[in-house]
Amino acid sequence: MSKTLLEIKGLKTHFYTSRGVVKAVDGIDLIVKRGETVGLVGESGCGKTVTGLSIIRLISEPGRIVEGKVIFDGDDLLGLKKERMRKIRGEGIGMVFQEPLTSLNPVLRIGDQLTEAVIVHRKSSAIEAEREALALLDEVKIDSPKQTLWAYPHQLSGGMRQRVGIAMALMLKPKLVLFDEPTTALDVTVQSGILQLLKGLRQKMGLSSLFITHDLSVAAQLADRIVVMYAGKVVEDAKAGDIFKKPRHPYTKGLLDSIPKREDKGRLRSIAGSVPDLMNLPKGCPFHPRCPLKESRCEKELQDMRRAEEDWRVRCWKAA
Amino acid sequence: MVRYIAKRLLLIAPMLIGISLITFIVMHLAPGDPTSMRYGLNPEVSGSARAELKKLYDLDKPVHIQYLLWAKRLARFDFGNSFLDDRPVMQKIVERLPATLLLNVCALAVILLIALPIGVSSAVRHGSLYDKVMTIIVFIGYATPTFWFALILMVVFGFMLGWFPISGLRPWYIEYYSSGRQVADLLWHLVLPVVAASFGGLAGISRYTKSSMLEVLRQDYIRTARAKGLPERKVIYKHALRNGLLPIVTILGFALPGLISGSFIFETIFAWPGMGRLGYEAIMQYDYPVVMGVGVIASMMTLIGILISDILYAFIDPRIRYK
Amino acid sequence: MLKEALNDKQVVLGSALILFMFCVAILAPIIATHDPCETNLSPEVKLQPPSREHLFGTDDLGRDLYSRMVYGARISLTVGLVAVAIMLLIGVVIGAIAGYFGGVVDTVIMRIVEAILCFPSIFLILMILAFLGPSIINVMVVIGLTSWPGVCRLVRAEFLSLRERDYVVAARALGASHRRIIFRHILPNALAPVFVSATLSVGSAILTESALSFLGLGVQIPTPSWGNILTTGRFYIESAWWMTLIPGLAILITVLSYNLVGEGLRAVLDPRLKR
Repeated sequence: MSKTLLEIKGLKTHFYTSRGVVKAVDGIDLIVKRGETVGLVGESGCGKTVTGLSIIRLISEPGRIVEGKVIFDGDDLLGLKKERMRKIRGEGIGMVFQEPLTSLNPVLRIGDQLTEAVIVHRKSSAIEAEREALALLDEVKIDSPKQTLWAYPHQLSGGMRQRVGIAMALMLKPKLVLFDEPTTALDVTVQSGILQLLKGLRQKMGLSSLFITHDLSVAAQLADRIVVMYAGKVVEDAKAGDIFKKPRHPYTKGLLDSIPKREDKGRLRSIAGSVPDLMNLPKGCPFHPRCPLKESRCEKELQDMRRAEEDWRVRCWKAA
Repeated sequence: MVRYIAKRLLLIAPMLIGISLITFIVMHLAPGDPTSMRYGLNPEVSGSARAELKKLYDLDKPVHIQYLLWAKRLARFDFGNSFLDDRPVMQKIVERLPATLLLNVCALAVILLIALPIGVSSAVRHGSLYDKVMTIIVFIGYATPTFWFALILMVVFGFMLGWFPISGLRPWYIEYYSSGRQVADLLWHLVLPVVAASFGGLAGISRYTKSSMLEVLRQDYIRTARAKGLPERKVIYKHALRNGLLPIVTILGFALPGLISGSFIFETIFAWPGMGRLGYEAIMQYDYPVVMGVGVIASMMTLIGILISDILYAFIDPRIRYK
Repeated sequence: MLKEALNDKQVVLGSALILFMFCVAILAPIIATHDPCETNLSPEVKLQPPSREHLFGTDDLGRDLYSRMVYGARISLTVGLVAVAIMLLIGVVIGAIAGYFGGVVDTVIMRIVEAILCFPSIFLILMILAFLGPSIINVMVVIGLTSWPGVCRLVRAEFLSLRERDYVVAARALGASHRRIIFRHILPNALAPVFVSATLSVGSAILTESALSFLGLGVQIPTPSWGNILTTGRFYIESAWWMTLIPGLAILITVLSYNLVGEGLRAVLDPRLKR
């Protein structure tokens, strides 16, 4: 069994809108090894979520996966027949979504939503599926699992709903879990509870996961490896310990600097400028209008990802 | 949920007052007082009708007293007696109500049976050839004068093909039939009026269903269901359909006035012995007590329809049921 | 927005058809081949199918149906426009008041609106016409008087959301009068959806007029309207199909055109519908 669980090669997902083509994901490479948690980081609108949805092929019109490979456990998912792909969803790859409020079906009981995947995929009996659901609700630290099974989503708090969402993604014991900003929509206190839970689960179950977040400090708590995206492209990819110590790409540095620190005394720093319009990217390096290090070359051509050090790749002319 | 239903019931009260006010205003719309209108040129009706109306609606009293007396009448469903045959208006309406209810309930059933599947399948296959063809058909249906469509039905299936009877509900010969054959005959008479009456609602409800389903299919929980690896069939018929049909329940109540409006036309065309034709004939013969009675009863039917759909909604939407 | 609308096939097709109908109505005296009210009861002339002499055939009184249709366009189109103008006037003002002031005013108005919506519209109109008597003017006024609740709700909803906008709050803080805020600051921003709904309402007003004529309380003969031509045709439906088919199609096409424009504009305004 190879060590690599998921390998994305040159993935491009574009949206064909009436106003033009949005290259939300434009040729990214990414590897998740077994047992590893990879943090996919970047500001909103840089293509992180689209990457996640592309992996399980849930991109809807007018979006299309244009090219690339998503090799999961030896199979290229993009070439699979619909029916095989459906089996992979849930069984091979689970996904936890950003909005716990809207990601659960409001008219179905929690128990129904938890057990249906097990019943469909494994042809388990309802009783068996329910027992598994109860065990998992316990695992995600829900106080009264039995009652929760009978509840409807609106009867639960946001944090509870997200715990249910996590349990739902884990029901079929998938080899890989995609977390799409699972804590962003929650209050800070609830957020830390969920992060604690995820840390525990990771150790206990040996989860492999791709953790999508705009918040580097959240990624820092969980990820073994960090992949930074900007405007549909990967700009830096390195081990978490390394990248936090010495970010090489000016964008990564900007992101790190904007994490509030104690010595800042309440001052919030952020990267100047804003995320560029994906339909209208600047020539050369898309980050150059905001980059403190830019030189004339950056306005003309974009550097390829290059090796900066063992196990460390970066896309910048100036990065040491 | 009890609170929700109680609130709905409370909302009925102001609407009832509104209905009584509107009918009262209609009664007074004519220049001068209602007794002087239209009859002026017709000495035959004018004398006696004027006196009758004055007595019936207490038009010699001050306006606020008139209204209170009118409201009191409404509360007791006492609309006086018909000018034509001097029978109580309410009795005449009650006689005609079953035929109207039969027609409209059947029409509603047909609308739902046809429009819901069309709406759902168009939403699921959004943008396909099927969806485009359906959109065009719905568009044309929306613009078709329904009475014209009824006439065409009558000519094609009544006169030319001779498949269905074109008028009435129970012909004189029905007494001689066995009960089973009576039911068959009744259904046979129902076909054309029901098709005509349901036609108008089809376009509206199927469009509404489609847009409601499209809205639901965009929701996050549909993506969640797909991410679980559920088959598309389950995603649509289990996860999307229940949410997509919820709003349909609430508009059914509001679809009633449209249906009943149609009743006035179709009952006239197909000589259907219902309340609509009673009301229409009363208008043509200036039988005002019957006109007012039919107006009030027809609007109250809507009110009841809205109430029923509200309560139904409370039962099927867990967000209200478990509050 | 105008540019986008003009790129929309649906809107262009509908507008072209409406324009055509209006040309027909305006040019009626020129393009009509006969006097629309001239009767000829001789059996060779009356109830004749379409021919070169009578493009759409003749009716029961030997009148040229083509000329009647052309003049009828004037009535039907006018009824649609005037009825909607009245509806807009009432609906926009009342809706604006309800949405802008909110509170008790809003509650009272909305209850009345709901009560009106409970009435089957055709019967409400028939009731009023039974008291007022049928005439073109009354038909237009009564359709307008009974159809405003829809626009009223729409305008109210727009106002409820717009009145909290920053520029409105600012105008209020600067001491602008209610009237000024309503008409200068809020209404212009609520016009687009109102326009869409007005376009669709013209279609339904034309349908309502035809239904009223059909029931004998619309435009009265000998004045030709599509509705009353159709109504007369009803009695000869087995022998003279052209008398029902042609006016029915004319109504259908006109209403369809207004709906094409209305729905097309709605889609342009609400990009979510289009994608």
